[in-house]
Amino acid sequence: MSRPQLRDARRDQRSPARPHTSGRQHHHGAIERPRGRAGLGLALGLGLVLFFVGIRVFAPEALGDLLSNTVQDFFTLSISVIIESLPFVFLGILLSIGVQVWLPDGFLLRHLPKNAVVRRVTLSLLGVLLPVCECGNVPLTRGLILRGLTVGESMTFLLAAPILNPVTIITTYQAFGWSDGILVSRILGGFVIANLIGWIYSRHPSPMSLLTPKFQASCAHAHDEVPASRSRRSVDMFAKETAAMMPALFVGSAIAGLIQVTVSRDVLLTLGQNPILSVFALMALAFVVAICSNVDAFFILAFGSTFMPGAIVAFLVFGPMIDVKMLALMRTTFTAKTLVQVTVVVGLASAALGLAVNTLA
Amino acid sequence: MSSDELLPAEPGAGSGARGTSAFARRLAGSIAVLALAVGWLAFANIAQGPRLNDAQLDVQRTTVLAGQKLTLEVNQSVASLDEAGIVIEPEAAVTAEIDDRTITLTFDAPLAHATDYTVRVPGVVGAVQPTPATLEYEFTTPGTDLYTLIRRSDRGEPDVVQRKPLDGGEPETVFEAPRIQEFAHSGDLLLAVTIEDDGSNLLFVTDMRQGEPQQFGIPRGASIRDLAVSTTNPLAALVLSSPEIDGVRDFDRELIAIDLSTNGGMELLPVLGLDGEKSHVSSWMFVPGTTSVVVQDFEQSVFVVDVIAKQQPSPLGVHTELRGFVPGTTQLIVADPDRGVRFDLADGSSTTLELASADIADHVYPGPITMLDGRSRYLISLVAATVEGDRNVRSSVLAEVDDDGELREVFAPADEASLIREYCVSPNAQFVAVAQSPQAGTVDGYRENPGFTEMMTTVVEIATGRTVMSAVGGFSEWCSD
Repeated sequence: MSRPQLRDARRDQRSPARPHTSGRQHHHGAIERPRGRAGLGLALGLGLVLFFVGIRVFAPEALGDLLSNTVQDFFTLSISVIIESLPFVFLGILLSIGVQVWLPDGFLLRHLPKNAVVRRVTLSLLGVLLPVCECGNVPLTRGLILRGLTVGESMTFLLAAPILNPVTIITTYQAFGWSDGILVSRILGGFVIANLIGWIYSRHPSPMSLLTPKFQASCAHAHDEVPASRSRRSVDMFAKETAAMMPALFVGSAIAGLIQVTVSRDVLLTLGQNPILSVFALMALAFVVAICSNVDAFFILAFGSTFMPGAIVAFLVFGPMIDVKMLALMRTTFTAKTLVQVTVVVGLASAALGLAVNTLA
Repeated sequence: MSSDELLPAEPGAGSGARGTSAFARRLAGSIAVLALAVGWLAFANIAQGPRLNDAQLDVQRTTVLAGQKLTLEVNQSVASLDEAGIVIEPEAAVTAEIDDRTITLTFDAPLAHATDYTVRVPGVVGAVQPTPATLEYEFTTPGTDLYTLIRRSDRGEPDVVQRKPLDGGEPETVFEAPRIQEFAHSGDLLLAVTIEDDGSNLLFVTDMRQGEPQQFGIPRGASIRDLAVSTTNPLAALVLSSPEIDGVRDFDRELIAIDLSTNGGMELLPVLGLDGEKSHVSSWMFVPGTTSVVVQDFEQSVFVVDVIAKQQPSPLGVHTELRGFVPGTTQLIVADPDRGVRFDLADGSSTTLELASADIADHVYPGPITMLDGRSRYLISLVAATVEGDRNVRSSVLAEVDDDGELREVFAPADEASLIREYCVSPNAQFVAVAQSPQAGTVDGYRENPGFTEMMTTVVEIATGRTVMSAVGGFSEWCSD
């Protein structure tokens, strides 16, 4: 049976199963709670801003001296990562909203090639049009699965888009230029690894078994959306994306600052100069730091003179695909077994890429 | 309905046990291939030695200053290297230092112009990769032009400053005026002092990329002498005197530096004496590679002062004459009636200059000497005077005297009717510009910076005596550095 027929059949089967009534009731109930939470969140946010402004205005200058140098360094380094990241995160969110809300429904799917390989290649380059952080790609990927993409294809998009998008490419170029082939290795590495994963899972005989039961259930409610204007949806999506991004950004920045003030520079230097250990050390760092792909190049730039270029490439390729935050987000969609398999393949491929760069660069 | 019917499968994906087996093979095969690649690449990384990541060298300064550093950035900490095995082609002496990932090679002397150098550092052992490696780096030093002044006012033609590349090529006129007293050039800027009909001077600055000379503001009727530029910094300086007006003289043989940098805006920087007051300057010169000048006042006090930093001058004592610097170094040679002294301005030390005396005949008279290195190798011009019949015959030669006092001819005028009038060594001591003119030539009549008519400058490579180029005119720019 051809693919369009399968999609049509699925829609036909799904339509009668949609529990419109209960779904709408659920949503109507949910509308009130977010508004209440939004009000509370807004009040909390304003309160925090006023609190910090109050500290800045009324606290004596000498108060800062009470903090140890290490604590001051921690705040300085963490805040610097946030300040560097924020413009790009917001840019990513705005572009994501434009593509998700303002493009016609099904526009992308209608224009994808029919050949499986070309289709995956095209999807891996779709990040050029959907330039969001990896955490923003997870809900987008879920939506693409619901609209008819195979699991392999959706994984290709999910893994490639955080790297093969203009914001990430521009920030990587800003940070490293053309030096040591870091930018080129990142782009090619992200492309090849994402397509490798897509190619592997294109062979899976039972793609539904790769997904969590909960996500399968949620498919039934995929189209239960509250009628709203595009502007309203844009605002809602902005709030949602910001709420998803900011905690990750703040936590990632704090961990980045913490690592820089607590991990001995000698340890970093020792690891960074080892052509093998440096690769695995930065992959581990990428996994823990879980920083957005739009800004990770600026983060790792601080280690640019310490670590070998292959390690930086491994960081920039592995981090956007697999990290603590991404695994948590992907676990909402994929089974643990699937994630372990993907992590092993992406990890080995990233390590091979990093080691190859260290061998040649 | 099975759950899988909800999702499309890829074309070609199998179903059931056969499909599962194919997927498992593809997954396991991919993992195996990647694991093998990781293992092989890890081995390859260990097996290869340290590699050169980057290198930094200011090639422009290598030809004018000793002590220039070639920094080799290695991809890991360097544990050791074979310093005795370091090879520079063409030969140049270096000292090596290791600092973590950086190997710094310091050139003992300035390098030759327009030369392809190859640096090989063998036996480099990394802290992580134990395999010794040889690092290799190549660079090319820049060529240079020679600027000369051609005085033609005695023939009713304007004087010109010409530029001619050492590697051949046609001369190019870069400045022209009815009478030119002296000139100097820094990068693309040419500074020229012209002589007005009343004998006073004007100063012109020409950006040689644009060509239009701009008159530099100095007091009306002022006189200038000893214009020179730094070979490494955008700085010029001159000794300025202005006429007395209503009993007041604004400038009286004062040394004035000019900041030629883009940001400097041609700012005038008065150079004060030891007491912090204006001083009457007898002679002066730039300290190579710095923004400092060494000054001798009319009381013969010698001091060093930084014209930019405005620090307190450092006195060097009272000496009869400033002889110049060992090329490319901060070693200053001064002369006293009883001895010569070498000051190393880098550390403030001084030593008596002990030069090997050359064995020359009684009828040969020694002229000025110029030090070529930090030991005792020097150039000397010699004039032989003999009587043939009823006439005196003079001939001149430029010779090098080595550490043992051995004399070697570097240059002698091809035409026996010519005499060496002046010679000046290039900042890297590779070449000497020899100005010669016919014995029958006359002085050109310029009150300040006088020369001879029909002067010709020949550039000779000191090591080989090879004539590199010849140009009309004299007053090579190397004489004003």
